[in-house]
Amino acid sequence: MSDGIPRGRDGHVLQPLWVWSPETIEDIQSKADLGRYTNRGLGMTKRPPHFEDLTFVPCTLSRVPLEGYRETCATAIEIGGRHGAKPIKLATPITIAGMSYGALSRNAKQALGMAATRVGISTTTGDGGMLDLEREASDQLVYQVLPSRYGFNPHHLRMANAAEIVVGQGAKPGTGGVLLGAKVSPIIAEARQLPPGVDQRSPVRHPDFVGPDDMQIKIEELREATDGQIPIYVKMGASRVPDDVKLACKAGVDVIVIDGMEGGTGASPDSLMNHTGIPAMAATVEAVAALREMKLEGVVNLIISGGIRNGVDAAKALALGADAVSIGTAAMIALNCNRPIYLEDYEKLGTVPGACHHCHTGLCPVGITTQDEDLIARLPVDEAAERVEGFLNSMTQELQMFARACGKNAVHDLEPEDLRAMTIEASAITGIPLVGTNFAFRPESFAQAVAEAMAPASTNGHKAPQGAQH
Amino acid sequence: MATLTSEIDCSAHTTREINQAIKRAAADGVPEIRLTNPAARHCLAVAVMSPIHVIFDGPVGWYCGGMSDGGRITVNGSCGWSVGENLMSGSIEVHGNGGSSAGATLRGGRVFVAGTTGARTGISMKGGTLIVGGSVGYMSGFMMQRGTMIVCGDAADGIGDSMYEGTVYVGGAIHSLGADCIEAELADEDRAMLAAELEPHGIAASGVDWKKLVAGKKLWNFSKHEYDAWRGAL
Repeated sequence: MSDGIPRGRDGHVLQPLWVWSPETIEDIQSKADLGRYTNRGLGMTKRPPHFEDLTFVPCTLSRVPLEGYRETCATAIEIGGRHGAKPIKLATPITIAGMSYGALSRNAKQALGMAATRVGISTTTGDGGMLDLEREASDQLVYQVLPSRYGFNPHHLRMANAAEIVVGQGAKPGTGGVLLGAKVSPIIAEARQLPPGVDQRSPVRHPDFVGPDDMQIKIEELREATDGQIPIYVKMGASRVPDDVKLACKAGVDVIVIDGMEGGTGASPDSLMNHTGIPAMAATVEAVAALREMKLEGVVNLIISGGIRNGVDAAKALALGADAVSIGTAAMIALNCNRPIYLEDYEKLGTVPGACHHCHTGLCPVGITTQDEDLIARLPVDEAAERVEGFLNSMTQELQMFARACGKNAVHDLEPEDLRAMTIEASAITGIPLVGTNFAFRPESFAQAVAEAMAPASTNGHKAPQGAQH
Repeated sequence: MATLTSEIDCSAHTTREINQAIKRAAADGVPEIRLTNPAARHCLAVAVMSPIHVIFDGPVGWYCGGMSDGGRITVNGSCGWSVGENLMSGSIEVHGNGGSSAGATLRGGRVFVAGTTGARTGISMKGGTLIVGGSVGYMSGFMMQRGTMIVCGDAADGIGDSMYEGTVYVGGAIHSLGADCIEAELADEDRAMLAAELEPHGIAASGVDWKKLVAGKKLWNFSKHEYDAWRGAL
């Protein structure tokens, strides 16, 4: 048959079962062969409620837009000054997220640092410590303090421009990292004080503190070690966001990074990526509300990460109240991840460009997530940095474009009123009215609607407006 | 702010002032600084990066000597959690008990606690030597990577769980071994090393039934044929 519908030999339509779909069958059989859960890189495969489900409602007659190519639109922001430390100065509200030297090649780390410096933003270390090339390339470098403390060096901490305590990440909140043996080369092994070739499993709990009260003392230690000169961030996977944000504020952090479930990873159990955490859009709303409740909005800065793909997603995150966004996977893709080159090596991995998430194998065809010298050579640093710089600039342009269209002369003036929800789900999550209804599908909206409907009618037959009864 | 000298009454200063005074004294080549009334305050003598002998007369709180490199710290009292956390080099001596996570992520140098320490002592050690004169709490030596931990007393449950490398010596009873932690044969070199490490602290190494614990290495790389080893580790 030529209709594209799968059919049996006798012509009847073959019907895959929903529960036992081809994907489920393959998953079960690969686990049976491996004898464990499956790992892979990059991110989740499901489609979560996302910034995609929001749309901007720019100026028309009721509001006046800014002239796109003439009028200025500010993008800069300083973050982390809550306790008097020297703040991080972002020329545009974007940061490069923490990705480890180990998961990424040295060329990739260096290129990210160079691009961040050219654009005037910060980049971040990762599990495995600070790479000299990365420090040299990055004007503003955030030093991660991870549960594993692989390669942690107080001298490097004192060379950093901020410290970020990593409590978790969006791809796998509540679980430690994995670096499979293929990527634990002798150089990486020495940097992490591990045996070469070992399947490195990172702990999830910090070795020297447990809960938020303890973290407050850890923050004090970091401040003492750095003479109070650098901001202290905490990064958390988006989970119980309101509670976590409040506890982090109480512990004394300067900046909170919330990583949505769309967040990327070099290697994680597939099941965790798809079934843990909450989406970045939902996390943004909850984090902003928590900061507002604490009266710390704009005092403790909020960075949102996880699935930020472009300046449009960034603009929506800012409109919901984030101070900045952080990108990891998008930066890798700008480097060259999944670009259709070296096709034969994608084929060896059993994949194709556009669908490759084989970071965990260490055989990255484009030299980003590998420690193999021949593969690393496929990522010339200068060219890679230029690509990331170009992408970051495109994000800034998009941010400004949407802000101007909404009549704002600063991207940080974007607000929820500039948005409408495209789905009932997005409206319920964000409290932003559904397109065409001017109604936000939130519990409080329903409560108000019911109260208005139940209000006693006046003698002329009209309902008394809310708040007008005595 | 009062003038800080080579002897400081902690009760008159903030933690920042005390730490700055220690760093200044070290930079000025002052050989020894004595601090009274530390009152179990947290984060004292953090990131001491130059040779100086820092003496606390009294108990200190969490993270004493944390992230230091090259100093010598003496605590005439007990300490809170995470003493000597991520120490790079130098030494810390605690003449009292320690809290949990003593010597966490130790990378070099020596940490000695005369008394007993809590859970997760020596967790994620990456080098150096940690000596506990008394007993250690549960999951001590968890995910140890390198270095040497000597426990003169007993070890609670789960000692050496998921070790990558490194060596743990226990003089007393072991309640249970952690995942993939195994006992190795004690050699003459081990006995000589124990004597050399403990003698300066006035602890006799001879006549003790030392047990030497190392990684079984079954958790180095996953094998579905050794699932029992992984059952508790995953």
